[in-house]
Amino acid sequence: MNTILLIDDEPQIRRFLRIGLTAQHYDVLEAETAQQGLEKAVLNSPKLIILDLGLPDMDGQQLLARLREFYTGPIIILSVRNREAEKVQALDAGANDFVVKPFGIQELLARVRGLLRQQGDVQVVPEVFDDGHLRVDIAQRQVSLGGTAVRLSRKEFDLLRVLLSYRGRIVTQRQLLTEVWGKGHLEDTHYLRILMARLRTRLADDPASPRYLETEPGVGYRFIL
Amino acid sequence: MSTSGVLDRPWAAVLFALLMTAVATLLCALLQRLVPAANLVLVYTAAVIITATSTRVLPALVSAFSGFLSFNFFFTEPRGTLLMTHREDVLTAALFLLIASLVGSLAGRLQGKVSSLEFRDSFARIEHRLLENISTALESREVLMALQSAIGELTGRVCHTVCSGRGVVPEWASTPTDFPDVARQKIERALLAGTESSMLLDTGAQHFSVRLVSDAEGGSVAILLGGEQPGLSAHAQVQNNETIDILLRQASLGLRRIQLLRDLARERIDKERELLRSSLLSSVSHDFRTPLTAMVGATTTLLEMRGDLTQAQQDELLESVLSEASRLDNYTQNLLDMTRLGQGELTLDRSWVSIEEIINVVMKRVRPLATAHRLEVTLAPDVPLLRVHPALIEQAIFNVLHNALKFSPLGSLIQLRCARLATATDRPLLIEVADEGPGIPESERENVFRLFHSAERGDRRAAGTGLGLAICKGMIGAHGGSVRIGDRAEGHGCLVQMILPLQESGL
Repeated sequence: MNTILLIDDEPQIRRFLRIGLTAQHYDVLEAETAQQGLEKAVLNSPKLIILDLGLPDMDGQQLLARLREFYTGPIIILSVRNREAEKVQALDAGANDFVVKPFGIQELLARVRGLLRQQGDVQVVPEVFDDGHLRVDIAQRQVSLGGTAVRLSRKEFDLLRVLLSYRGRIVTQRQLLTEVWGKGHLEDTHYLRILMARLRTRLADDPASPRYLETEPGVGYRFIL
Repeated sequence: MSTSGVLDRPWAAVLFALLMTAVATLLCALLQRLVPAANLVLVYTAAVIITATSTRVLPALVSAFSGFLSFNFFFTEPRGTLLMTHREDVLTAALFLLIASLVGSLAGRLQGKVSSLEFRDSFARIEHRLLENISTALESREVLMALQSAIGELTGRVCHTVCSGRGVVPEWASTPTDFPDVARQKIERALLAGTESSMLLDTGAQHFSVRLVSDAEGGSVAILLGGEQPGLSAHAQVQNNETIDILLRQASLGLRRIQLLRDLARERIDKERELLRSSLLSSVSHDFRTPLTAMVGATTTLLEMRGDLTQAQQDELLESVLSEASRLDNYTQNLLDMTRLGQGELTLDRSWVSIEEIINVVMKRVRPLATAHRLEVTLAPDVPLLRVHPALIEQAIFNVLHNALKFSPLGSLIQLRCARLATATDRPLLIEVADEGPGIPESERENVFRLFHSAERGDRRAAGTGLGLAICKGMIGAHGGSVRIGDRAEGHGCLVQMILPLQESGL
């Protein structure tokens, strides 16, 4: 049984999450304060934590840091729109993904499934990705689209590889910049934008309704599961 | 000066000079037996000096010359003619003419200096008073009134003052009622054009001379002086015009200061409004999102996994949608009321209602939210009909009850009491809500009525927009009442007291 710890002070939000998650056969633990959340995380070692950043008794970011002192499982943040800095900070502080309020239950369940599938932070990079349309061979560094080979530059391929390795999960701009360009380029987000635009063109992916590469504005990118 | 005597008029002064000579001649006729004729010139000299000190140089000279002629005619041999036989008489008369002219012109000039000093002194007093009035003025009309009375005092003439600033309609100290519109419009057009000028204005009944002064910022002020002051010397006229201009410029500076004050105040209000708007937005985004999240979450859960849910779970989700929708409705209502209160658009639609009706409507809204609390309502039997806008009073009471529900522990008692306040002379209506929550510390009691107080403190626990009590105060205040946090006589908790003045229904 997968146990999920839900830390949120709003009873109405806890209620539908409890019902939705229970229906998917998750075991749900609820906490309405940061203190309760910490206690339940220590005592019950949940498989995953869903954390609302707006709690009455402790700053969400602070709670996240406290959780990360002992908890290694995935953490999903419930955040609000227009608070990109908050999301980035949380992701940098060890959150694995976020959902923006208001959200549909499927969106949250997809995140939960994605994170539980890749338990822990160990990335098992698949040798080959193939969904019948796009085929990426990591070892051979070959990409094809509908059977036609696509030529990618070295950086374009690296970007695609990193996103693929975190498939279904948000990868922050910071993380992408570090992995593709190295630590010296953390501020050069425009490199990333230009490279992403080129990669999208090569994969014929429409940024307005993407099939593979989704933008999380102000935060990062996600390879759609 | 308005107090200038009859001697300021040239013909009167000359007449006075001749009169003095006549008096001197009469005196000499009486004295000629006692003193030698030559000494009689001293009497004439005295007449010249009196004339000179009372009037100006010219009449003094007139007095000197007429004195010389009279002395010659009446008191030198041969008498009755302008001829002189004795050489010493000629010498005396000539010396007299010389000295009299000299003394007369000296004394006259002195007199000129004195009157000019007096003028300056009185002008300084008027100017000082004007400046004093201008510096304390808060409205442009006050400046105009001060200017009008200053110039009125200075000239003794009927006057009107009018000003205009950038994009401001011309304002009169007091709108002249006897002016034809054409005349008024002519002045107002000149003001708006803002070019300095003097002109004449004929209102049919009266002639006005107009002086107009403008500043660099496009503000103008004009003075209309009625009639002429007859007999005033050209010199005095010019002097008056100059002093009027000085006063006009002082007033213009004063008006400019008021314009700046006004701009400053407007800017501050704009800034506050902007602050209000942004805090409103941030509070809305937080407080609207929570119910929305619960509603979206519950409906998507129902839609997408109905098959996996028990009947009880489905009902729970549906109920949650409903209660969150009513929470949103409350927020929306509060927000609308707040914006209307903030823009001063809230107009009272008063009608006669009983307090029972109002409380019934409130309780209908509160009961579904208060399932976990005990509610107790006490209504005094002697409350007359209220002349109020019912929806607003309902909202005010609802907000206070809603607050009590949010802050007090489950299962606790919330009391609503309505009775006439016996301690006040007009015995207004007192509506009290008492809860058993944590209460509000003395130091916070004023603050809770401030907009967004709850949100400002980052108090997310209360799930309040920080609007509720501020709106309550606004609505009760709009009815001439007041709201305060009182002390609970027994136990802990919060006591909110709304006091509403009652009107006689005449029934």
